[in-house]
Amino acid sequence: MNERLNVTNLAKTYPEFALGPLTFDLPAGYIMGLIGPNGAGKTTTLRLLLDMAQPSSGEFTLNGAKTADARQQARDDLGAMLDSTTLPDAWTMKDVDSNMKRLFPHWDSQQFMKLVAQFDINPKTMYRRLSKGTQNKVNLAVALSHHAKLLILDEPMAGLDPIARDELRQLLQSYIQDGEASVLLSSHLTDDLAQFADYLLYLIHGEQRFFGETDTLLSRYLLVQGGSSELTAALKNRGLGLRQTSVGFSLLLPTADQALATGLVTSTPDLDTLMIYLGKRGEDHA
Amino acid sequence: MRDIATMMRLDWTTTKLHSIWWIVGLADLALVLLGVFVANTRFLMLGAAAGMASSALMMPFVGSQQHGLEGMLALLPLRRRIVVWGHYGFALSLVAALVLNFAVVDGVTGLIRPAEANLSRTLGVAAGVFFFFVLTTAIEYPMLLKWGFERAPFAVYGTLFGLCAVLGLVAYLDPFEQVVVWPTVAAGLAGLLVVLGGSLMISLHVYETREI
Repeated sequence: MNERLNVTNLAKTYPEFALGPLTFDLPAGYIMGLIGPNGAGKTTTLRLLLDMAQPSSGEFTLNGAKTADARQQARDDLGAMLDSTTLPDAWTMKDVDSNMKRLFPHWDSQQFMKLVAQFDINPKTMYRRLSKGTQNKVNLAVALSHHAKLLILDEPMAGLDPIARDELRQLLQSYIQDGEASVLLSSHLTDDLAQFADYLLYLIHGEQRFFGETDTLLSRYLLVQGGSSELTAALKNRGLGLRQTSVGFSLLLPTADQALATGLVTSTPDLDTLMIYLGKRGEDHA
Repeated sequence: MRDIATMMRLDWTTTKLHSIWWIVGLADLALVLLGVFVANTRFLMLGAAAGMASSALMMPFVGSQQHGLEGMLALLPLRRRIVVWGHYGFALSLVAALVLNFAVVDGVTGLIRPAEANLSRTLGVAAGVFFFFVLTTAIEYPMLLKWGFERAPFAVYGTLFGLCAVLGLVAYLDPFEQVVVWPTVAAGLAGLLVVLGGSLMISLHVYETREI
């Protein structure tokens, strides 16, 4: 399979935080969501993949390039957007277009201006006069306008209304339709992500808790609800993220232990519910 | 080489050129008019140059909403060493343009007051402006490249205040009337090249390994 991204035991250690080791891959033609609570290491992961930080150990191949130098040389094949990336204050959309045309050999002015119009951005307004959300849209339009084989997007849905999020979802899905391009994106809007991400990488406090198909993650657990008297010791022992009220309880139960929930109300959790029950540090075990 | 030129061009476009050249033009006009009424405007010119240099030279590092432009540069198909070379190329070309400008203004001032006009004075002022700008670059850039604009305001303001203090001392001593111009310019240039070369080496090293 043609892989856009192949990551093996990638780790980064700071005095106050450790990420990894992470191991995952992203084949061409798919979308991968990077999820986890705040401080899980999502942005650090993306910064490592963009060679903005150096890994403490491990390696990765991006669009076939194995070394940082080779990856920097092949930047044209990579479209990226991070929260911390901005364009020069005084640039209008025309300036963005003319400058990016010089830098990216495959820059598509028509596509960029089309996206600017689609995102309702005034092409004559200077970058610094745009709202933060609109600046993000400009950065996104840049990432989408040079026919990159891999898109790496950090919180692209942040600050977008539901209509704009839906447009973005459609845009990303059409982007990978040729089977050559892939998208890796992080988002806090996990339910949105669950609708169109083929793969998920789930981080909790720097640790890789899950990598695989979205449906596989969701089918791993059951949300179990019942009355207080129905909470057995076995459920407490095997369940995750136990929540108790004066009248009842709810918890996540591994599907393999489904038999423990016989007679109780069970349902497949959505991604938001899963994240809430698994907790910020993944240590909310019952 | 082509990539360095591309990077230099990018730096020129990130700078609000129209604002800068308007300010330069107005400063030129003010200095020429002052030359009509005030006998010696060369130190006023150097003061104006100090302000101009510190603001114009940091422009390639200034992004929006307190973020620098390093993030954007890291995502472009440019190697880090090219980014550094490009920044220095921008600075030197800016210095050359401003020095030429101030040399012309000094020349015009000399035409207004022919009794005080002489080539060595004009060249002395030009050399002084050139020395000042390049020294500013050599001190500022390694710090800006190491910490980024938002984390290193002292790189800009510290350099400005420090060099202004030195200029004040130079103004007080007024050595231009006593020294022989060409050997002084040659020695200054040689020293400046050494400082600039060292600064460039440090910048290449720190930016290559910097986390953005």
